[in-house]
Amino acid sequence: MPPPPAGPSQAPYREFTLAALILGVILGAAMTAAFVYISLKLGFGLSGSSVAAIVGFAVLRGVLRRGTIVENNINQTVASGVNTASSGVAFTLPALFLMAANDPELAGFSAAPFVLAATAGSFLGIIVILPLRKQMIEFERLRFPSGIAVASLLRSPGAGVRQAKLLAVGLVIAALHTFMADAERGWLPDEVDFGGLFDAPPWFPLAISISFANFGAGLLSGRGGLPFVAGGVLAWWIISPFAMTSGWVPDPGAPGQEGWQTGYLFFNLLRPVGIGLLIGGALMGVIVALPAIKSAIKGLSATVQARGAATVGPAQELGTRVMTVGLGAAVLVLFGAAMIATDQITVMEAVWIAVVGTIWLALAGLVVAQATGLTDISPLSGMALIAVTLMYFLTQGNIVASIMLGVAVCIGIGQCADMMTDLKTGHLVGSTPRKQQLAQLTVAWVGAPVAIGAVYLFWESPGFGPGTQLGAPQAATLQAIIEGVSAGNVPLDKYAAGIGLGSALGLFPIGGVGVLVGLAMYLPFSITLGYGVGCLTSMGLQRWLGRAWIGSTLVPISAGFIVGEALVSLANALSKL
Amino acid sequence: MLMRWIGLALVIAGTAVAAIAAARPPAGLIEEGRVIRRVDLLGEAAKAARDEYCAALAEAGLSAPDACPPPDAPTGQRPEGEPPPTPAEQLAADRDRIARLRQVPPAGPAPLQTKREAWLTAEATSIEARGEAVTVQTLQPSERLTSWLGLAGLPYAAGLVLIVLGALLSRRAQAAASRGDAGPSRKGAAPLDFGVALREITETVAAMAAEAEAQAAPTQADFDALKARLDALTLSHIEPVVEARDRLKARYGVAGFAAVFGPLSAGERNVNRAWSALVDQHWPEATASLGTAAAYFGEARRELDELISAKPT
Repeated sequence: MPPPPAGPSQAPYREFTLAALILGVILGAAMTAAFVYISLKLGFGLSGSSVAAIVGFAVLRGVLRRGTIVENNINQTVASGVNTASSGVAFTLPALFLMAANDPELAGFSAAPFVLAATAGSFLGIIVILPLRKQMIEFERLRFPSGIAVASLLRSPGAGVRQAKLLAVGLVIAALHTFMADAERGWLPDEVDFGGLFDAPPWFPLAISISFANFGAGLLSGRGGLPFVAGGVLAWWIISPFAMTSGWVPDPGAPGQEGWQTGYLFFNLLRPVGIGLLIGGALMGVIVALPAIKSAIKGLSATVQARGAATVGPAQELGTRVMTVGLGAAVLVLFGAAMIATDQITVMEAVWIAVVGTIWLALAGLVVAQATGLTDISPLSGMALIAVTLMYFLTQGNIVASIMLGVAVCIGIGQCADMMTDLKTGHLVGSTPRKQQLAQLTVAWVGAPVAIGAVYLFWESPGFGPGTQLGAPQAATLQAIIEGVSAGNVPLDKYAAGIGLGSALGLFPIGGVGVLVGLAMYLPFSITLGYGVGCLTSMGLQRWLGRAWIGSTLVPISAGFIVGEALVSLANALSKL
Repeated sequence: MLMRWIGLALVIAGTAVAAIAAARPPAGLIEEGRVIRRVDLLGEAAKAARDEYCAALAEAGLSAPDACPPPDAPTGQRPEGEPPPTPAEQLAADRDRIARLRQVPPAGPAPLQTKREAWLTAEATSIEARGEAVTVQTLQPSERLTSWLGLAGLPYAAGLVLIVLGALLSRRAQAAASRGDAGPSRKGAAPLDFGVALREITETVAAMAAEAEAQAAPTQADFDALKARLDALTLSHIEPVVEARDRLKARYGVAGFAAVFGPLSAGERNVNRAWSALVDQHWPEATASLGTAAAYFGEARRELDELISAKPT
């Protein structure tokens, strides 16, 4: 598409404009409704940042012929901020519909408290993570591979022909593979299992996921991703055989049960420890970095920003006052939502829901933002599960209130990860953080009603749940977990052990080790292995060809991998609708 | 160097020991899992036996009083609002149902009767397994915790101690390494002096800002040249400083590091903004961003000077 007219412009540099805001909201709302449908049908969510960036190019630079790189960044920030609600809602709320269908006591719940709670969660997610921008992006320098990929896309008009070609090459390779490896076509594998060659049992996995986005994230992470691989090795090549040979996994006494035993090991022993590790690792990371965080937050105070304005210009970030007011308002809305959710909630319980929910949201948001920053993988469902469990016990088994808070937390932690990813992109293209933060806060209320409305709509027609056209697999899983929790099945021992282990690992001088090991225990090994191959390849190439080559060649190719897979995954999903 | 490797080895060993102990199931959980799985397997076997019987029945063109109800057919209509039966009530109802079916005289040829008997036997076995499962108590969260602590608490604690020791040793090793005047920022590269690097960055960016300011009518070549200089500055000066940040942290502590890296990162972001503005053909914004970047780099340099004067090498 043609660039803006050449020659020095005297008009103000376009950044947070009405055009970017409106385009972002339209794109975000459309993607939210579509992605809710995709989540209900296929069981996974999608990120819309790259789609928004490409449409932004077409509309802002192509049609309007005046868009800038940072203006398009605002457009993708807004679109992805709105769209974050789709995963948050589709992971959680449909479980209540499924449970209410069989339980008259749950039927007839109102949408209003869910919209309120989801909106409060959306604002809270942004507000609680903002003070950590400096810590995560400027001090720790977390990679946020998707953030780098979108930045490469946004910078492509000026990055030179060679880099644009490399981006395109990566994009085409990943797009072709994703198209051909789609489950319905099956022309290429999406996983290669070497286990058969060595007659390895399923509890000693030797399969590797063939995902170019995953591989690309590993390439961008390089050496920093090695603890993630080490965590996978520990979980699947050390703990798993040890547990199997020590009789820690039930033997039902029937042939052919090794697959089930591996699943049992993963879901009952490894995954809960992984969730605990994520929490402990992230918490200790904050404690260790407290002096830097204090300094960053101090920098947000009105006095310091005013002093800075004298030397370096207007404030670059939102001040602490905005955050405090926003936090208070969002907690109040959450309290109100809890009060009107069901008539069985007392004032004290509503206070608990608002306070504990906010604290958990902040902690889980920190975990998810760190995990996304380190690997591009988000343990959203694990964190939402803990939120629902916590609320279940706090409200003495009130399922409506528990799922309501699950919706709020799921959207909130999604916002944490999305805001940080967008701010990383912003850092790389030179956006003003304050404008990005304002843009995301301005539209934080849009996604929740769209996503919840879409769930209601799809419940009426065509309907969803196991055995229907829209299987809602995540909702069915959450339903099963809630039923397990109501029977007292909560792996508190594993969570506690994981938190202790993560906290201890957080003392190691390399940041994020606890989070990375936890994430590896939380995921199937084939994903970790695919990512690890990317890390090792990147390290080898850096040693061989140097750091400059990595920046000029490997980064655009890897960005192309991530963008290509994202775009074709979306096309594949839409084609199935 | 030796201290660093010992620290790392302790952390790895401690993590392995603690993680294995963390994964150990509490007492009772294995048996609970076995019973639940057995119920599932026997349920599946009963369903398969019924399907086989039903297929044979259909093939023979026969209908029977017990003829193949749908898989999950309710045993009786439940009035609206009535709570679902408890597991014990459901078991009793299912036992009655099988007993009633057994009283029905078998019909059809012998192979069909054999299949019917196999189905009823499988159903009865499945129901008895469910009866066994009802008696198994799910461990409550606090019971799980205390049981696990009793079984795995000691090795788990030992693992944690190893990790903490290893982490502390690694931190000491890192601090000792940072006391060297200026270690290499990466293999084969010249040692990086933060003070010199920051001064060069500040001066270069300030010079670029001044040149850009003086340029009243920039041509496309000016845009391209300035963008190329920014690319070169990022690669040769800013990235090496960013890469070597852990040494700064080890030497001046987290707060000192933050004091320098806050403005340094803001400067870097404004260099990126200048680059974007150049791509967008917006010379005034590029000029302004370079000026802001220079101010931030200068601030970073002053912060570093303060740290150095407070803690000279």
